[in-house]
Amino acid sequence: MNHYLTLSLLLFLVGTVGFIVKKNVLAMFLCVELMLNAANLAFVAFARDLGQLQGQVFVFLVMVVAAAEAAVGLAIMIVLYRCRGTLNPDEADTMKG
Amino acid sequence: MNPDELFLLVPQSILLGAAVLLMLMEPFSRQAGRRRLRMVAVAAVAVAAYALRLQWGLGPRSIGGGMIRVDGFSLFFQWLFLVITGLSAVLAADFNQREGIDRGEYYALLLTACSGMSLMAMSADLILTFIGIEILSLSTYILAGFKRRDIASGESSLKYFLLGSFATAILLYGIALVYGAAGSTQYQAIRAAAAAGEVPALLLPGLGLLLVGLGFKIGLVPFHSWIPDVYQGAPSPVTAFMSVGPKAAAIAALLRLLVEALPGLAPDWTRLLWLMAVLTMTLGNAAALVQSNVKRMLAYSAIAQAGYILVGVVANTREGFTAILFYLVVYTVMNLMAFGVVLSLSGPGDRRVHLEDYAGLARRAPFVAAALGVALLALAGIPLTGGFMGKFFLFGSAVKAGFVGLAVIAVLNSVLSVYYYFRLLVYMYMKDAPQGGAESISRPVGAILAIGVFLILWLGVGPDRFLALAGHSILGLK
Repeated sequence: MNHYLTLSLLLFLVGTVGFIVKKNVLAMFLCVELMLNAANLAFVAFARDLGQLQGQVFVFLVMVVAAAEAAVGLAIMIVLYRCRGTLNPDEADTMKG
Repeated sequence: MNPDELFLLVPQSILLGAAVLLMLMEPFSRQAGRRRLRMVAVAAVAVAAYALRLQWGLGPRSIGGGMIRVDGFSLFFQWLFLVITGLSAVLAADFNQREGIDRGEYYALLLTACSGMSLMAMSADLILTFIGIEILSLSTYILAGFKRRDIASGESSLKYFLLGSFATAILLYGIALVYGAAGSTQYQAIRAAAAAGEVPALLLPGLGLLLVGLGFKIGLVPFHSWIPDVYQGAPSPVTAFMSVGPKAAAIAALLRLLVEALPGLAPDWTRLLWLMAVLTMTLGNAAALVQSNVKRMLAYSAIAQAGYILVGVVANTREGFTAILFYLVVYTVMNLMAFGVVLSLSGPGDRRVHLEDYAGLARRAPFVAAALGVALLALAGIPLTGGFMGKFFLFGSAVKAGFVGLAVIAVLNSVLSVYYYFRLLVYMYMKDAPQGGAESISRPVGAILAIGVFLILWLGVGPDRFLALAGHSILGLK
């Protein structure tokens, strides 16, 4: 139980730190996926510990949401890439103030 | 589910059905037929509102195995969301035609966003709250980038998407921790787990992560950094929608979560939210002082307004929650009015949004200037407007709950905010226009502005009836 949770926490932290330090939109998005999967792992671990099925069902819901998010996110990235020709978020700086 | 329970979900079904219908109609309608698409959206909103009316007075119900609550609180918010969605669709009409983005998907996404917001207000289960937030967020990510050829719009969409999905991931991890601590995601079960003797160790970090996720959606400092860029870059009608809808929905979800699931941790979260309220008001107002772009100024103003609303949450009394509901209605009216003027005047390319563009507006378009003026006075909280009454109730509830310091800071902040709201008024009424030319606004927008002026003054002079309605709605929250 504790091992699962430790791994999940590690994944979450790697995702969080990665999101903050990465300079590529795709890599940042992958870090978010890592965080979602960390939550999934925690759900499954807790469900096993509690002897429930609920937590495992949540994982499926989260997967569906993650897939929808990926579809929307990649579409947005493609649109922006067509406009600017770069995926570096630091260069997306038209607005200031 | 029995038919009786399904009846309670009819409004949601209408919205989603109309959204699908709009997507199907879009490829088959010619440019001239776009009007019809908008009519479908508005009609769906009207029918859903009527279906909700039939549910009023049934008393609180729990359906879907305790996942969904239908009570005064959720009905109140669903109505508010329907009004916001309908008005956003009407406000967007002329703008979208001008910018060439008058497509069926736009209205379909507004409707799905509305159903997501409604789920957030009805939810009595963390998983459903999460799904509601995601339905809302995915729709608004796309709406923010709806002007595909515009770099600012794309940027705004990307920033919203990246930071938004980051925040939902944090929220989801918080849900996982709370699930582990309480053994369930249902609010009542969490409440029981927190009340039974010792508070489970994972509950507090879980609550913290949940507050980060919801705080992001509301736009609380320090999770506000996305708001100015996203609001500035998104098409103006979308900004109008985002500044009222998702904010109100996130506050509804926050209230349900804190009051229904975690009343046992009230000392912890009031302390945390106290700090966030102060930071949000002060930073929002301070940053708004130096903005020359009206959209960006209104974005910072929206941050500050969220701080005022949070004062009612910190008070954690029935009066505080009633004041929140009242203020949310006033806030919706005044913000939609302000953005309605902004999007009408912004001109081709949505570019004329600087203070200088408003110089001499009173001479060029007296009615528009007067309507925007009333909205700004209400946002600043000048007496005789609904904004004053709303703030009065909010800060009054904080004083009664013993948070005098917070109320004083909030009042000082309101005084500070007068500066930047009045600066825009000064530009409109006391500066000469650089180049003449009358401004014209479309008839529907004009009608909305007129009704808005009436509502703001009415709520400012005789708020009793409305306050009673808000107080009645809050009874479901327990």
